[in-house]
Amino acid sequence: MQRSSEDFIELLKPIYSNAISYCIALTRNETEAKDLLQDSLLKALEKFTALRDDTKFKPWLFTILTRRYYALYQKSLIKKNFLNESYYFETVEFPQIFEKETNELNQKALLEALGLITEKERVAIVLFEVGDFSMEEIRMIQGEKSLSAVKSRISRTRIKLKELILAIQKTLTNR
Amino acid sequence: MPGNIENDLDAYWDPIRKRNSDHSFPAVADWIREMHKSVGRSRLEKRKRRRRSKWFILSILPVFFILSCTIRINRVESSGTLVNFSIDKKEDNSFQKLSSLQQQFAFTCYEFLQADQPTVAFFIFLIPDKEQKTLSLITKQLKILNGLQKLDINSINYTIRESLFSTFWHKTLQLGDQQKPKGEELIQNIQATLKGKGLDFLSISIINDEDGHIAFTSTKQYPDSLTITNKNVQSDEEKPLQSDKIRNTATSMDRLQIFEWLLGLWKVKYVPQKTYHYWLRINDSILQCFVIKYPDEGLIKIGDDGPDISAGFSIRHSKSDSTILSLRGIEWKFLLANDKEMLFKNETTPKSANVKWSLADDRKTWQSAISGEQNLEVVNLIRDENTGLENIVKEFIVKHPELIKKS
Repeated sequence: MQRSSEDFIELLKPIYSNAISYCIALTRNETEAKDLLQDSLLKALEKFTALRDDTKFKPWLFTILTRRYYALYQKSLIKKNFLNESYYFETVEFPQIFEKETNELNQKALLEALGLITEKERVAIVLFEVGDFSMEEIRMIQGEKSLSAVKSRISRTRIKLKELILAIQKTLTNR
Repeated sequence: MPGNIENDLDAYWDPIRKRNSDHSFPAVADWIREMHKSVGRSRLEKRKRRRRSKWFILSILPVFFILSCTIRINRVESSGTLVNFSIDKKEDNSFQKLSSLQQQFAFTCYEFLQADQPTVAFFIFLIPDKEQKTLSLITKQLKILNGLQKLDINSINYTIRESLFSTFWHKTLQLGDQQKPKGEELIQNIQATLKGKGLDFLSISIINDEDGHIAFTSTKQYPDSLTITNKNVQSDEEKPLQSDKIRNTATSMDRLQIFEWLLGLWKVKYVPQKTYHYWLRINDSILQCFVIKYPDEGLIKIGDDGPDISAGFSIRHSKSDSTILSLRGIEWKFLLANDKEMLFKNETTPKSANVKWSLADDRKTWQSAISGEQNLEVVNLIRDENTGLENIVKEFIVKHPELIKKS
């Protein structure tokens, strides 16, 4: 089924800011967040015809964002260099989505703390806190079998983040 | 802020959560419209490319398959292991042990002598590749034999010429039955190994292609006399024979000469009726046994009852270079002969699968045993000099020429 770009735009509009926040929290860097969003939107456009239920657009897009994040920011050089797909069609330059870099201290501390936890923990906590997804949705996006694994991961990460933010803030005030 | 964190992380998440990026949405929407067209085009191209590659694969696969079936390659595989060893003749215990080993592991050693070492008995046998476990057990036992002078183990290879596909199928996937070695090639390879060991006076005959069993015989005119009668001394006349080239096929005459001892009259022992076996050479390739049975002496005689004569075993050397033993329509293939026994095998009649002729040292008595599934027929014979019976047999042949023709 051929679907128009307007359908896609319509569905994206309400969750657009949410998606950008998700990208920033995952990558902790506005440039990388922009790359992740651009790459994920292209992937989503390619796969858009396969989306049957429009009410599932948000978890569908966030699943793509998560998978692209894993794919683009894999630590393995082999995976990074050889497994990443390259687009064989001409791409138009992605618009500037950030006006100025934020200097908010709380956000800086949180992003720094997010950088100190594992990828799985980061994705789970960001989906929960920023994406506002339910535990069940997070389980599906992360491809987990057990819901309790997701629950314990999130609660463990919250404790971890608290400790990390405290430590980071201490060093910031000492400076 | 440090105080807040104990209770609430929301203060840290809020700047990210409440971040409003809607101002950039119109530009992103334009980008999406633009990219949507490119994505649509690329999807079409992708589909075309996929279809093209599908056709390419479909067309290249049969070509590849035909090529792999056509291109033939040579592959060397091991067909068995040739074991050559020698034992001091004084070590009787070792000979007994060797005999029990042969029975235990169902293999047969060929025994031979060498002119320069009259006090040593040499043995040779071949174990097929699939029985390597047996080989290791046998060699382990051979190594502990007293008087063992040398133990030489050589692998016999053969070349398989098959297609690339068959090689992939047999060798890589380990599927299907692998091509069996051709008898001639196998013999050549064994001969080459024997030559390397200075044993080129031995000739080889394949006794069972399917199992890959190999028998060794001597090219000498009286092969078993080498091991039985001339154990200690070999004349100078015989020596050049050892250096003769190996002959794969002996003449019928040569082949049947190992049965020459049978010729003449034998009396059957331990039977109520007087019974004789008379072996006669019909021609160069047939030996025939006639069974002469006298009527039971306990019965009332009616008229002049002569002995009852019938055809017994016959030994035939066929054109295909195999020696066949026949009796009542059953045929046994000649397996091996040594100084103590002769073995024949039949693969179609399980009840009479094996014929074993056991010979006494003086060759004046011997035993014929036909054995198989729940069947054992034993006949004991002793040499008899009753010359009158020869004429009876000859008369019988004249009267029944069809019997000879049948043979």
